[in-house]
Amino acid sequence: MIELIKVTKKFGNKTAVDNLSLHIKTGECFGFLGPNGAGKTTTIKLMTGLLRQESGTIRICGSDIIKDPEMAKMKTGYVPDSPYIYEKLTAREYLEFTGGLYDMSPERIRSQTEWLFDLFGMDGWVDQRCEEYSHGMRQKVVFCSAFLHDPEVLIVDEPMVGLDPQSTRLVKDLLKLYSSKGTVIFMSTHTLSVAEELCDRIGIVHDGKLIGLGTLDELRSMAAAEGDNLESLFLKMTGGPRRANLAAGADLG
Amino acid sequence: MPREPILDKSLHIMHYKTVSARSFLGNLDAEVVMKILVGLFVVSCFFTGSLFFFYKIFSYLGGLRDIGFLLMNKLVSLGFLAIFMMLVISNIITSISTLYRSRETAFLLSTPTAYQKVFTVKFIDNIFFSTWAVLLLGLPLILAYGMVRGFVLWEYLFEIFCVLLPFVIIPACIGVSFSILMFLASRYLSPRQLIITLGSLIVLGVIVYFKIGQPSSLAFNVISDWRVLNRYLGSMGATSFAFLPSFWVSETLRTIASGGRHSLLVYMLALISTTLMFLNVTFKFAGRYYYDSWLASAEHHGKDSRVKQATKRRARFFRLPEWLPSDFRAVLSKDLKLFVREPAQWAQFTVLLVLLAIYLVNLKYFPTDVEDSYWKTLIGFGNFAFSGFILATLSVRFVYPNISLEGKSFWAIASSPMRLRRVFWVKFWAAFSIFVLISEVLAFVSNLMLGLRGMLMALTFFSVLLMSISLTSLSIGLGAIFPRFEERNPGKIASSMGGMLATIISLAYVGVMVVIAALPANRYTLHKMNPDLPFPMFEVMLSIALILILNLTAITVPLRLGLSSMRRRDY
Repeated sequence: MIELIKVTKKFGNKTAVDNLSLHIKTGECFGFLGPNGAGKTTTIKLMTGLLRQESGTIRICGSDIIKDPEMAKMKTGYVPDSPYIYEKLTAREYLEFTGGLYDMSPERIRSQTEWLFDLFGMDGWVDQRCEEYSHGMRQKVVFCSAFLHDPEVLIVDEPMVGLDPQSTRLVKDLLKLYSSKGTVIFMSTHTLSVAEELCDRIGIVHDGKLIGLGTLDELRSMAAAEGDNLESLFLKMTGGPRRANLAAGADLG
Repeated sequence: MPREPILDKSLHIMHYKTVSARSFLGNLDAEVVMKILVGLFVVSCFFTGSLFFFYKIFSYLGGLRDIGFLLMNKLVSLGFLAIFMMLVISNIITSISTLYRSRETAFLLSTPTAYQKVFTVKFIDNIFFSTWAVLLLGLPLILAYGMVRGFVLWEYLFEIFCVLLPFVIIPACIGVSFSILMFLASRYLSPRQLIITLGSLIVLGVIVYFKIGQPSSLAFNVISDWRVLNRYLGSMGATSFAFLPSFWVSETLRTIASGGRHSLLVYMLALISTTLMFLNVTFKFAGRYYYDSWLASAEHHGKDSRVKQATKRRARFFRLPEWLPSDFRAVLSKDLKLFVREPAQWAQFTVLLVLLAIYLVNLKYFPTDVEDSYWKTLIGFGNFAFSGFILATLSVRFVYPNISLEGKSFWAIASSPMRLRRVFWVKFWAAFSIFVLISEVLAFVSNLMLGLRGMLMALTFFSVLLMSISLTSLSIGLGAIFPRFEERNPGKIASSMGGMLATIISLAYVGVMVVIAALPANRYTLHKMNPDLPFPMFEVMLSIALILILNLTAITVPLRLGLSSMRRRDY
């Protein structure tokens, strides 16, 4: 599970994450939504040890990310928004490399790799260098590396960017499968339909503050908006309609 | 969970980096192979040329009775001190990208790899990237020394390896520790304050070096009076930085020559033990503070970077005249703003300008009342050569990365109606106009300080103008042939394979320019001293023709090749 307790992160005078508290249970798929610059990626970087909060505590399956970072990361699979891949390695070599970083035995790496390649339909590509892959293919490699060590927590920043419809479907199914197996999924996304379809609970963040938290129904009642879909709710809570009206009233000459 | 020994994961990462490098080398396309071969050829030419140059100098010095070897040792000692300082600076600059801004570092830190192990891998990377180019430039000096002293080659190479390995590790420890401190301090100081502090420290170091080492005094003594040289060299004994590893290396070389095995062992042990001590301290320090400093550097990227009022005022300062074509203005104005908003860029630029100022101030030690035409010409050409060396360094450091710095956003220009040729011209004129200003000021002030007037000054002015055009073209052209769009650190772009090639070609160009201009000038000076000798009309005409051919080639060929390379590229 993931626990964020009164987490605050500042960059100079700007508060990127403001007193954020979250508790995400085992097997829960959690959607983290917010407009650009709301603090989503900062929160994810705090959870993966790539930034350090000024105050508050973050625990991944009971391990404090500051006090015991290696243990916390060992339990985490992370898919960043713009992932780094060793361009000159093949997908197979890249997964062998990543598996080594997670202390996996060569046999386990091999069996997991074969399973994941098969699952993602990458069989014909695995021995080509990553530099030859399309954006979607790279994204598949990154997903494979995140799933490789069977993480207890999966943190995904914008999971569907650049994926073709088949891969999108596959990732959704995989996220559901892992979630049903007890993996915690923490997903930041702008694709609201994905959040609507997959997430058990949704948190909406705006200017670093959590302004909404709950199931879709709970969010509806919070926003006093009967029958609204997630997009209208999201826009209502983050000040979207005002901007939408501006666009509607704009005169392009 | 059981913890594995400290090096396991570092070795695992290093192994896959090697696999990656092998894959790169095993899958080179024809164009890259061609570029590497050309690069190797130029590097070999440069290497052979410098080896020959140093061999000649050392042979000449070796032939001087009494003081020859003494002078040679002092020169080697000064050379190693310069290499040591360059290595420290190079390690600091390189560490900003390898240890901090590299995406690989962020990736490794997001995995369950201990920070110390990530540091170990990146520290080795840093030594490699910051050292190879400096060593390549320094190796001819070391080999030439061994050849003149008649050392057995393989024995000498082995001893050099034993000495050089610790010699490059110590500056790496100093440079990297300094970077860690700098990023830790960045939590409390603004980039501007930090850069000013850093710049001041470097300037202070250089002033101390000039005050204690007095390299200009060495030159002064060499050219003015041989009799005082012994006294001078004797006085230098106490100020040769006996506590610095560069001194131990040069002393090691000296003791190899004199066959003093006991002293050799002492200096080698001093080097090795100091290296181990530095490694120990650096790794302990990094183990405690590297991750903190990395976090501090990561936080800088997230800071509120909204353009403040003062910055807006500065932007108005850079507003370009309306008569310039709009696309020309757009690219030029963007380049200027990016330069000003990148502290690493203007900080290094300022440090280099300060170094130039120190060089100019230091020229006051030279005698300005020399009446002898021969010495006047020699001083003039010495200054011309040194100015050329500085200009070549400046152009590679600041002009060469220009095309690469467009980065992955080059598609925005490439897909616009602006033609690539025009982009090239904007880059050229922007760099040239600043470059020629610095060059001519340098030429004017240095000539003034050296008391050189009239014909010599006019000649320097004209040559420096030609040099500015050619060096700008070389850097822009080669920067386009070997662009590194994925790299954001200009220092690292300049120290890449292409940057190294640009450095070597620029230095070779400066060397050839000086030689072509010096030969007829020498004859002319002899003619002035002895009017019985004929006016060297043929030499003068030949020299002018050669200078024209050399500069036309240096201006047109790189720009054409660069442009066609950019046209063939996908964005």
